[in-house]
Amino acid sequence: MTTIYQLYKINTGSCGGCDSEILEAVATAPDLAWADTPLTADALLLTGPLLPAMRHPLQNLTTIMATLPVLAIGRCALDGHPFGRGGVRAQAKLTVQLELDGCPPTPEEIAAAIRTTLATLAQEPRR
Amino acid sequence: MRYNIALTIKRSSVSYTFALGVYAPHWKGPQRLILTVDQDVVRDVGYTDGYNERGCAERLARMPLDSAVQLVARISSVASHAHTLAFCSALEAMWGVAVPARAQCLRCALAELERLALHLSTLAELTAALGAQPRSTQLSECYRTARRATHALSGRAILPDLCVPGGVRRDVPDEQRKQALVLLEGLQRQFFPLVDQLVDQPTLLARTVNLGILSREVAERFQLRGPVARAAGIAIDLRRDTPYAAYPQLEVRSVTQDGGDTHARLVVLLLEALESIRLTSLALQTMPDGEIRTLPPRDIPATQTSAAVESPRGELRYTVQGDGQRLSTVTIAAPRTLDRLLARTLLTGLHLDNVIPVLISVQADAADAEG
Repeated sequence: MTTIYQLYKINTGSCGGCDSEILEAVATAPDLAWADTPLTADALLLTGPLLPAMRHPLQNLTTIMATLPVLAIGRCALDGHPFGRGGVRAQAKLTVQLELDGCPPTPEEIAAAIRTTLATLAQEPRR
Repeated sequence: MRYNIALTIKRSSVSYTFALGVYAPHWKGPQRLILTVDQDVVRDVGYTDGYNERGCAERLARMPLDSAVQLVARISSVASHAHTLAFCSALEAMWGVAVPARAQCLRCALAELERLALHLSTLAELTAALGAQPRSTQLSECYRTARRATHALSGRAILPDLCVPGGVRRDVPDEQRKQALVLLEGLQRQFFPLVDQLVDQPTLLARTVNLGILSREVAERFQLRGPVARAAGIAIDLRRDTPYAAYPQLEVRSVTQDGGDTHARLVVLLLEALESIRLTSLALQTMPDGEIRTLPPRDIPATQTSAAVESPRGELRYTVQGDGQRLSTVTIAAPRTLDRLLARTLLTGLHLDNVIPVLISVQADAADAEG
Protein backbone atom coordinates (compact mmCIF):
# COMPACT_ATOMS: atom_id res chain seq x y z
CA MET A 1 0.00 0.00 0.00
CA THR A 2 1.35 3.46 -0.90
CA THR A 3 2.06 5.75 2.01
CA ILE A 4 0.42 9.17 1.67
CA TYR A 5 2.40 11.92 3.33
CA GLN A 6 0.30 14.69 4.89
CA LEU A 7 2.03 18.07 4.69
CA TYR A 8 1.58 21.47 6.27
CA LYS A 9 3.38 24.53 4.91
CA ILE A 10 4.32 27.88 6.38
CA ASN A 11 5.57 30.78 4.28
CA THR A 12 7.89 32.94 6.37
CA GLY A 13 8.34 35.75 3.79
CA SER A 14 9.27 34.07 0.50
CA CYS A 15 8.57 35.48 -2.97
CA GLY A 16 6.02 32.70 -3.43
CA GLY A 17 8.12 30.75 -5.94
CA CYS A 18 8.84 27.76 -3.69
CA ASP A 19 5.23 27.86 -2.49
CA SER A 20 3.97 27.60 -6.09
CA GLU A 21 6.31 24.71 -6.77
CA ILE A 22 5.23 22.93 -3.57
CA LEU A 23 1.56 23.40 -4.54
CA GLU A 24 2.39 21.97 -7.95
CA ALA A 25 4.28 19.03 -6.37
CA VAL A 26 1.33 18.18 -4.12
CA ALA A 27 -1.16 18.63 -7.00
CA THR A 28 0.71 16.21 -9.25
CA ALA A 29 2.16 13.62 -6.83
CA PRO A 30 -0.41 11.01 -5.74
CA ASP A 31 1.42 10.24 -2.48
CA LEU A 32 1.51 13.84 -1.21
CA ALA A 33 -1.48 15.59 0.35
CA TRP A 34 -2.28 18.60 2.48
CA ALA A 35 -2.93 18.20 6.16
CA ASP A 36 -5.77 20.28 7.60
CA THR A 37 -3.69 21.37 10.58
CA PRO A 38 -0.09 20.91 11.74
CA LEU A 39 -1.47 18.45 14.31
CA THR A 40 -2.33 15.93 11.61
CA ALA A 41 0.75 16.55 9.45
CA ASP A 42 3.64 14.19 8.81
CA ALA A 43 5.96 17.11 8.08
CA LEU A 44 6.12 20.89 8.22
CA LEU A 45 7.41 22.54 5.05
CA LEU A 46 9.12 25.86 5.56
CA THR A 47 9.60 28.50 2.83
CA GLY A 48 11.00 32.02 3.06
CA PRO A 49 13.86 33.63 5.00
CA LEU A 50 12.21 33.40 8.43
CA LEU A 51 11.37 37.07 8.82
CA PRO A 52 11.10 38.40 12.39
CA ALA A 53 7.28 38.52 12.26
CA MET A 54 7.15 34.79 11.54
CA ARG A 55 9.82 33.54 13.95
CA HIS A 56 7.63 33.62 17.04
CA PRO A 57 4.70 31.65 15.56
CA LEU A 58 7.14 29.13 14.12
CA GLN A 59 8.96 28.80 17.42
CA ASN A 60 5.64 28.21 19.20
CA LEU A 61 4.66 25.55 16.71
CA THR A 62 7.96 23.69 16.82
CA THR A 63 7.95 23.81 20.62
CA ILE A 64 4.45 22.37 20.84
CA MET A 65 5.11 19.80 18.13
CA ALA A 66 8.71 18.92 18.85
CA THR A 67 8.58 15.62 16.94
CA LEU A 68 7.15 17.10 13.73
CA PRO A 69 9.86 16.93 11.04
CA VAL A 70 10.71 20.36 9.60
CA LEU A 71 11.73 20.50 5.95
CA ALA A 72 13.26 23.77 4.71
CA ILE A 73 12.50 24.25 1.01
CA GLY A 74 14.37 26.73 -1.16
CA ARG A 75 17.50 28.81 -0.85
CA CYS A 76 16.07 31.64 1.24
CA ALA A 77 14.68 29.16 3.79
CA LEU A 78 18.23 27.87 4.25
CA ASP A 79 20.26 31.06 4.67
CA GLY A 80 18.06 33.99 3.70
CA HIS A 81 19.64 34.59 0.28
CA PRO A 82 18.92 36.92 -1.53
CA PHE A 83 16.98 38.76 1.19
CA GLY A 84 19.93 39.03 3.59
CA ARG A 85 20.98 36.88 6.50
CA GLY A 86 18.22 34.61 7.73
CA GLY A 87 16.72 31.19 7.18
CA VAL A 88 17.00 28.13 9.37
CA ARG A 89 20.81 28.29 9.53
CA ALA A 90 20.53 31.51 11.53
CA GLN A 91 18.24 29.82 14.08
CA ALA A 92 20.43 27.78 16.41
CA LYS A 93 17.47 26.30 18.29
CA LEU A 94 15.64 25.06 15.21
CA THR A 95 16.43 21.55 14.01
CA VAL A 96 15.52 20.71 10.44
CA GLN A 97 15.43 17.29 8.84
CA LEU A 98 15.86 18.52 5.25
CA GLU A 99 17.57 21.49 3.61
CA LEU A 100 16.57 21.53 -0.06
CA ASP A 101 18.48 24.14 -2.04
CA GLY A 102 17.20 25.79 -5.25
CA CYS A 103 15.57 29.06 -6.16
CA PRO A 104 13.09 27.53 -6.50
CA PRO A 105 13.58 23.74 -6.56
CA THR A 106 11.37 22.03 -9.15
CA PRO A 107 8.17 20.18 -8.11
CA GLU A 108 9.87 16.87 -8.96
CA GLU A 109 12.87 17.67 -6.74
CA ILE A 110 10.55 18.74 -3.91
CA ALA A 111 8.40 15.59 -4.13
CA ALA A 112 11.45 13.30 -4.27
CA ALA A 113 13.17 15.05 -1.33
CA ILE A 114 10.03 14.87 0.84
CA ARG A 115 9.55 11.16 0.08
CA THR A 116 13.18 10.25 0.76
CA THR A 117 13.39 12.24 3.98
CA LEU A 118 10.11 11.00 5.43
CA ALA A 119 10.81 7.40 4.42
CA THR A 120 14.23 7.57 6.10
CA LEU A 121 12.74 9.11 9.25
CA ALA A 122 10.07 6.39 9.36
CA GLN A 123 12.78 3.72 9.48
CA GLU A 124 14.59 5.39 12.37
CA PRO A 125 13.64 4.41 15.93
CA ARG A 126 11.05 6.76 17.45
CA ARG A 127 12.49 9.73 19.24
CA MET B 1 -8.63 24.50 -1.32
CA ARG B 2 -7.46 25.00 2.22
CA TYR B 3 -7.27 28.75 2.73
CA ASN B 4 -8.51 28.75 6.23
CA ILE B 5 -7.12 27.19 9.31
CA ALA B 6 -10.68 27.11 10.68
CA LEU B 7 -9.57 28.69 13.90
CA THR B 8 -12.62 29.44 15.98
CA ILE B 9 -11.47 31.77 18.71
CA LYS B 10 -14.79 32.75 20.18
CA ARG B 11 -18.11 31.17 19.51
CA SER B 12 -21.54 31.92 20.83
CA SER B 13 -24.74 30.58 19.31
CA VAL B 14 -24.58 32.71 16.15
CA SER B 15 -21.41 34.77 16.22
CA TYR B 16 -17.83 33.63 15.80
CA THR B 17 -14.50 34.75 14.42
CA PHE B 18 -12.74 33.09 11.56
CA ALA B 19 -9.09 33.51 10.63
CA LEU B 20 -7.80 33.62 7.09
CA GLY B 21 -4.28 33.84 5.96
CA VAL B 22 -0.62 33.88 6.56
CA TYR B 23 -0.17 30.56 8.39
CA ALA B 24 -2.41 28.57 6.01
CA PRO B 25 -0.80 26.46 3.26
CA HIS B 26 -2.71 27.93 0.31
CA TRP B 27 -2.58 31.56 1.37
CA LYS B 28 0.14 33.37 -0.56
CA GLY B 29 -0.40 36.92 0.59
CA PRO B 30 1.34 38.89 3.32
CA GLN B 31 -1.80 39.63 5.33
CA ARG B 32 -3.97 37.97 7.94
CA LEU B 33 -7.71 38.58 8.12
CA ILE B 34 -9.90 37.87 11.13
CA LEU B 35 -13.53 37.81 10.03
CA THR B 36 -16.25 38.38 12.59
CA VAL B 37 -19.17 36.32 11.36
CA ASP B 38 -22.74 36.60 12.56
CA GLN B 39 -25.33 34.15 11.20
CA ASP B 40 -22.86 33.22 8.44
CA VAL B 41 -22.55 36.84 7.28
CA VAL B 42 -19.27 38.76 7.64
CA ARG B 43 -19.89 41.71 10.00
CA ASP B 44 -16.35 42.98 10.51
CA VAL B 45 -12.87 42.38 9.18
CA GLY B 46 -9.76 42.58 11.34
CA TYR B 47 -6.53 42.98 9.47
CA THR B 48 -2.85 42.46 10.22
CA ASP B 49 0.01 42.80 7.77
CA GLY B 50 3.78 43.16 7.88
CA TYR B 51 4.49 39.45 7.49
CA ASN B 52 6.77 39.92 4.48
CA GLU B 53 8.64 43.13 5.26
CA ARG B 54 11.98 42.27 3.72
CA GLY B 55 13.19 45.81 3.02
CA CYS B 56 14.10 44.93 -0.58
CA ALA B 57 13.99 48.53 -1.89
CA GLU B 58 16.48 49.70 0.78
CA ARG B 59 18.77 46.74 0.13
CA LEU B 60 18.77 47.35 -3.64
CA ALA B 61 20.59 50.65 -3.27
CA ARG B 62 23.44 48.98 -1.37
CA MET B 63 23.99 46.06 -3.74
CA PRO B 64 26.11 45.51 -6.86
CA LEU B 65 23.90 45.76 -9.94
CA ASP B 66 24.01 42.01 -10.79
CA SER B 67 22.88 41.07 -7.29
CA ALA B 68 20.24 43.83 -7.38
CA VAL B 69 18.72 42.35 -10.57
CA GLN B 70 18.67 38.93 -8.89
CA LEU B 71 16.90 40.34 -5.83
CA VAL B 72 14.37 42.28 -7.91
CA ALA B 73 13.45 39.05 -9.71
CA ARG B 74 12.64 37.49 -6.33
CA ILE B 75 10.40 40.14 -4.84
CA SER B 76 7.32 38.38 -6.15
CA SER B 77 7.17 35.08 -8.00
CA VAL B 78 3.94 36.00 -9.81
CA ALA B 79 5.45 39.24 -11.19
CA SER B 80 9.14 38.39 -11.22
CA HIS B 81 9.68 39.36 -14.84
CA ALA B 82 7.53 42.49 -14.46
CA HIS B 83 9.71 43.64 -11.55
CA THR B 84 12.97 43.07 -13.45
CA LEU B 85 11.54 44.68 -16.58
CA ALA B 86 10.50 47.82 -14.69
CA PHE B 87 13.83 48.01 -12.82
CA CYS B 88 15.91 47.47 -15.98
CA SER B 89 13.77 49.96 -17.96
CA ALA B 90 14.36 52.64 -15.29
CA LEU B 91 18.12 52.00 -15.42
CA GLU B 92 18.14 52.02 -19.24
CA ALA B 93 16.30 55.36 -19.23
CA MET B 94 18.98 56.69 -16.89
CA TRP B 95 21.81 55.57 -19.15
CA GLY B 96 19.96 56.36 -22.40
CA VAL B 97 20.63 52.81 -23.60
CA ALA B 98 18.54 51.44 -26.48
CA VAL B 99 17.47 47.81 -26.08
CA PRO B 100 17.77 45.67 -29.26
CA ALA B 101 14.48 44.76 -30.97
CA ARG B 102 14.97 41.02 -30.46
CA ALA B 103 15.38 41.49 -26.71
CA GLN B 104 12.28 43.73 -26.61
CA CYS B 105 10.21 40.96 -28.25
CA LEU B 106 11.55 38.36 -25.81
CA ARG B 107 10.80 40.64 -22.88
CA CYS B 108 7.20 41.09 -24.08
CA ALA B 109 6.76 37.35 -24.68
CA LEU B 110 7.88 36.57 -21.12
CA ALA B 111 5.76 39.37 -19.66
CA GLU B 112 2.67 37.96 -21.36
CA LEU B 113 3.48 34.40 -20.29
CA GLU B 114 3.78 35.61 -16.71
CA ARG B 115 0.38 37.34 -16.96
CA LEU B 116 -1.09 34.24 -18.58
CA ALA B 117 0.23 31.94 -15.83
CA LEU B 118 -1.13 34.13 -13.00
CA HIS B 119 -4.53 34.58 -14.67
CA LEU B 120 -4.86 30.86 -15.41
CA SER B 121 -3.92 29.79 -11.88
CA THR B 122 -6.35 32.40 -10.49
CA LEU B 123 -9.10 31.11 -12.77
CA ALA B 124 -8.39 27.50 -11.76
CA GLU B 125 -8.63 28.44 -8.07
CA LEU B 126 -11.73 30.57 -8.64
CA THR B 127 -13.66 27.88 -10.51
CA ALA B 128 -12.66 25.31 -7.86
CA ALA B 129 -13.90 27.64 -5.11
CA LEU B 130 -17.19 28.04 -7.02
CA GLY B 131 -17.66 24.28 -7.24
CA ALA B 132 -16.82 23.88 -10.95
CA GLN B 133 -14.14 21.24 -10.33
CA PRO B 134 -13.98 19.78 -13.89
CA ARG B 135 -13.41 23.27 -15.32
CA SER B 136 -10.80 23.95 -12.64
CA THR B 137 -8.93 20.79 -13.63
CA GLN B 138 -8.95 21.89 -17.28
CA LEU B 139 -7.71 25.36 -16.32
CA SER B 140 -4.95 23.82 -14.20
CA GLU B 141 -3.86 21.87 -17.27
CA CYS B 142 -3.78 25.14 -19.24
CA TYR B 143 -1.69 26.68 -16.45
CA ARG B 144 0.80 23.80 -16.74
CA THR B 145 1.05 24.36 -20.49
CA ALA B 146 1.84 28.05 -19.85
CA ARG B 147 4.56 26.93 -17.41
CA ARG B 148 6.01 24.61 -20.05
CA ALA B 149 6.08 27.46 -22.58
CA THR B 150 7.91 29.67 -20.05
CA HIS B 151 10.34 26.82 -19.45
CA ALA B 152 10.94 26.45 -23.19
CA LEU B 153 11.86 30.14 -23.48
CA SER B 154 13.77 30.74 -20.28
CA GLY B 155 14.80 27.34 -18.98
CA ARG B 156 12.62 27.79 -15.88
CA ALA B 157 8.89 27.34 -15.30
CA ILE B 158 8.72 30.34 -12.95
CA LEU B 159 11.10 33.22 -12.08
CA PRO B 160 12.41 33.35 -15.68
CA ASP B 161 15.43 35.47 -14.68
CA LEU B 162 16.14 36.47 -18.28
CA CYS B 163 15.83 40.27 -18.22
CA VAL B 164 19.02 42.26 -17.51
CA PRO B 165 19.91 45.94 -17.99
CA GLY B 166 20.36 46.53 -21.73
CA GLY B 167 18.47 43.46 -22.97
CA VAL B 168 18.19 39.80 -22.04
CA ARG B 169 20.70 37.47 -20.39
CA ARG B 170 20.78 34.85 -23.15
CA ASP B 171 19.23 34.24 -26.56
CA VAL B 172 16.45 31.77 -27.23
CA PRO B 173 17.48 29.20 -29.85
CA ASP B 174 15.09 28.77 -32.76
CA GLU B 175 14.20 25.24 -31.65
CA GLN B 176 13.01 26.50 -28.25
CA ARG B 177 11.10 29.37 -29.85
CA LYS B 178 9.26 26.90 -32.11
CA GLN B 179 8.59 24.61 -29.15
CA ALA B 180 7.01 27.50 -27.25
CA LEU B 181 4.91 28.42 -30.29
CA VAL B 182 3.63 24.83 -30.62
CA LEU B 183 2.72 24.81 -26.92
CA LEU B 184 0.89 28.13 -27.28
CA GLU B 185 -1.02 26.87 -30.32
CA GLY B 186 -2.14 23.84 -28.31
CA LEU B 187 -3.03 26.08 -25.38
CA GLN B 188 -5.15 28.29 -27.62
CA ARG B 189 -7.09 25.23 -28.84
CA GLN B 190 -7.48 23.97 -25.27
CA PHE B 191 -8.44 27.31 -23.70
CA PHE B 192 -10.73 28.95 -26.28
CA PRO B 193 -13.67 26.52 -25.82
CA LEU B 194 -13.27 26.90 -22.05
CA VAL B 195 -13.66 30.68 -22.30
CA ASP B 196 -16.80 30.17 -24.34
CA GLN B 197 -18.24 27.79 -21.76
CA LEU B 198 -17.27 29.77 -18.67
CA VAL B 199 -18.45 33.25 -19.71
CA ASP B 200 -22.16 32.42 -19.64
CA GLN B 201 -22.39 29.19 -17.70
CA PRO B 202 -25.65 29.52 -15.68
CA THR B 203 -24.27 28.06 -12.42
CA LEU B 204 -21.26 30.37 -12.51
CA LEU B 205 -23.45 33.36 -13.38
CA ALA B 206 -25.68 32.56 -10.40
CA ARG B 207 -22.67 32.44 -8.06
CA THR B 208 -20.73 35.45 -9.39
CA VAL B 209 -23.03 38.18 -10.75
CA ASN B 210 -23.49 41.06 -8.26
CA LEU B 211 -21.07 39.37 -5.88
CA GLY B 212 -18.20 41.33 -4.30
CA ILE B 213 -18.93 44.51 -6.25
CA LEU B 214 -16.18 47.12 -6.55
CA SER B 215 -17.84 49.98 -8.40
CA ARG B 216 -15.94 52.31 -10.69
CA GLU B 217 -16.14 55.07 -8.06
CA VAL B 218 -14.71 52.84 -5.34
CA ALA B 219 -12.00 51.51 -7.68
CA GLU B 220 -11.05 55.10 -8.56
CA ARG B 221 -11.05 56.18 -4.92
CA PHE B 222 -8.79 53.25 -3.98
CA GLN B 223 -6.62 53.96 -7.05
CA LEU B 224 -6.92 50.36 -8.15
CA ARG B 225 -5.17 49.30 -11.34
CA GLY B 226 -4.86 46.19 -13.44
CA PRO B 227 -7.56 43.57 -14.08
CA VAL B 228 -9.58 44.50 -10.97
CA ALA B 229 -9.85 48.11 -12.16
CA ARG B 230 -10.55 47.08 -15.76
CA ALA B 231 -13.40 44.88 -14.48
CA ALA B 232 -14.86 48.05 -12.92
CA GLY B 233 -14.76 49.96 -16.21
CA ILE B 234 -11.45 51.79 -15.71
CA ALA B 235 -9.76 51.44 -19.08
CA ILE B 236 -6.15 51.89 -17.95
CA ASP B 237 -3.58 49.56 -19.46
CA LEU B 238 0.01 50.79 -19.80
CA ARG B 239 0.69 48.31 -22.61
CA ARG B 240 -1.81 50.26 -24.73
CA ASP B 241 -1.74 53.75 -23.17
CA THR B 242 2.06 54.26 -23.01
CA PRO B 243 3.45 51.25 -24.88
CA TYR B 244 6.95 50.14 -23.93
CA ALA B 245 9.33 47.36 -25.11
CA ALA B 246 7.78 45.74 -28.23
CA TYR B 247 4.17 46.60 -27.33
CA PRO B 248 3.89 49.41 -29.94
CA GLN B 249 4.18 46.75 -32.69
CA LEU B 250 1.99 44.20 -30.91
CA GLU B 251 -1.12 46.43 -30.64
CA VAL B 252 -2.64 45.29 -27.37
CA ARG B 253 -6.42 44.88 -27.26
CA SER B 254 -7.23 45.91 -23.72
CA VAL B 255 -10.20 44.24 -22.01
CA THR B 256 -12.71 46.10 -19.84
CA GLN B 257 -16.02 45.22 -18.22
CA ASP B 258 -18.52 47.45 -16.43
CA GLY B 259 -19.97 45.21 -13.74
CA GLY B 260 -17.22 45.48 -11.12
CA ASP B 261 -18.43 42.19 -9.63
CA THR B 262 -16.82 38.76 -9.43
CA HIS B 263 -18.28 37.80 -12.82
CA ALA B 264 -16.77 40.89 -14.47
CA ARG B 265 -13.38 40.01 -12.96
CA LEU B 266 -13.74 36.40 -14.16
CA VAL B 267 -14.48 37.61 -17.70
CA VAL B 268 -11.56 40.08 -17.67
CA LEU B 269 -9.15 37.35 -16.51
CA LEU B 270 -10.42 34.94 -19.19
CA LEU B 271 -10.18 37.45 -22.03
CA GLU B 272 -6.84 38.85 -20.89
CA ALA B 273 -5.43 35.31 -20.74
CA LEU B 274 -6.64 34.76 -24.30
CA GLU B 275 -5.06 38.04 -25.38
CA SER B 276 -1.79 37.09 -23.67
CA ILE B 277 -1.63 33.87 -25.71
CA ARG B 278 -2.06 35.95 -28.88
CA LEU B 279 0.52 38.54 -27.85
CA THR B 280 3.12 35.94 -26.83
CA SER B 281 2.73 34.08 -30.14
CA LEU B 282 2.89 37.34 -32.08
CA ALA B 283 6.02 38.50 -30.25
CA LEU B 284 7.75 35.18 -30.90
CA GLN B 285 6.67 35.07 -34.56
CA THR B 286 7.76 38.63 -35.34
CA MET B 287 10.98 38.54 -33.30
CA PRO B 288 13.79 39.77 -35.56
CA ASP B 289 17.28 38.25 -35.64
CA GLY B 290 20.12 40.25 -34.16
CA GLU B 291 21.70 41.37 -30.92
CA ILE B 292 20.08 40.57 -27.58
CA ARG B 293 21.87 43.07 -25.37
CA THR B 294 23.45 46.51 -25.44
CA LEU B 295 26.10 46.56 -22.74
CA PRO B 296 25.34 49.44 -20.36
CA PRO B 297 28.05 51.67 -18.82
CA ARG B 298 29.42 50.64 -15.41
CA ASP B 299 28.73 53.90 -13.58
CA ILE B 300 25.27 55.11 -12.69
CA PRO B 301 24.75 58.83 -13.43
CA ALA B 302 23.70 61.29 -10.75
CA THR B 303 20.13 61.59 -11.92
CA GLN B 304 16.69 60.18 -11.24
CA THR B 305 14.56 58.19 -13.68
CA SER B 306 11.40 56.21 -13.49
CA ALA B 307 9.76 53.44 -15.53
CA ALA B 308 6.40 51.71 -15.26
CA VAL B 309 5.14 48.44 -16.69
CA GLU B 310 1.76 46.72 -16.69
CA SER B 311 2.45 43.83 -14.33
CA PRO B 312 -0.09 40.98 -14.13
CA ARG B 313 -1.80 42.84 -11.25
CA GLY B 314 -1.50 46.39 -12.61
CA GLU B 315 0.88 49.29 -12.84
CA LEU B 316 4.30 48.64 -11.32
CA ARG B 317 6.71 51.57 -11.18
CA TYR B 318 10.41 51.71 -10.29
CA THR B 319 12.10 55.02 -9.58
CA VAL B 320 15.89 54.89 -9.38
CA GLN B 321 18.33 57.56 -8.30
CA GLY B 322 22.08 57.42 -8.94
CA ASP B 323 24.94 59.27 -7.21
CA GLY B 324 27.39 59.21 -10.13
CA GLN B 325 28.77 55.75 -9.36
CA ARG B 326 26.08 53.56 -7.91
CA LEU B 327 22.39 53.50 -7.04
CA SER B 328 21.54 55.71 -4.10
CA THR B 329 17.77 55.21 -3.87
CA VAL B 330 15.27 52.78 -5.34
CA THR B 331 11.53 53.25 -4.87
CA ILE B 332 9.00 50.60 -5.84
CA ALA B 333 5.33 51.45 -6.34
CA ALA B 334 3.57 48.08 -6.60
CA PRO B 335 -0.12 47.56 -7.41
CA ARG B 336 -2.38 48.01 -4.40
CA THR B 337 -2.65 44.78 -2.49
CA LEU B 338 -5.53 43.68 -0.27
CA ASP B 339 -5.25 46.18 2.57
CA ARG B 340 -7.52 46.91 5.51
CA LEU B 341 -9.85 49.31 3.67
CA LEU B 342 -10.20 47.17 0.57
CA ALA B 343 -10.75 44.01 2.61
CA ARG B 344 -13.51 45.72 4.64
CA THR B 345 -15.17 47.15 1.53
CA LEU B 346 -15.14 43.82 -0.25
CA LEU B 347 -16.01 41.43 2.53
CA THR B 348 -18.36 43.20 4.96
CA GLY B 349 -21.90 41.91 4.42
CA LEU B 350 -20.81 38.89 2.38
CA HIS B 351 -22.07 35.40 3.12
CA LEU B 352 -19.17 33.32 4.45
CA ASP B 353 -19.45 30.92 1.46
CA ASN B 354 -18.64 33.79 -0.90
CA VAL B 355 -15.55 35.13 0.88
CA ILE B 356 -13.01 32.84 -0.78
CA PRO B 357 -14.28 33.28 -4.38
CA VAL B 358 -14.30 37.08 -3.95
CA LEU B 359 -10.79 37.13 -2.49
CA ILE B 360 -9.48 34.92 -5.29
CA SER B 361 -11.17 37.08 -7.95
CA VAL B 362 -9.23 40.18 -6.81
CA GLN B 363 -6.00 38.15 -6.88
CA ALA B 364 -5.65 39.08 -3.23
CA ASP B 365 -3.37 36.22 -2.42
CA ALA B 366 -0.59 37.33 -4.73
CA ALA B 367 2.38 38.48 -2.64
CA ASP B 368 3.23 41.21 -5.12
CA ALA B 369 3.62 43.95 -2.56
CA GLU B 370 7.20 44.94 -2.00
CA GLY B 371 8.17 44.33 1.53
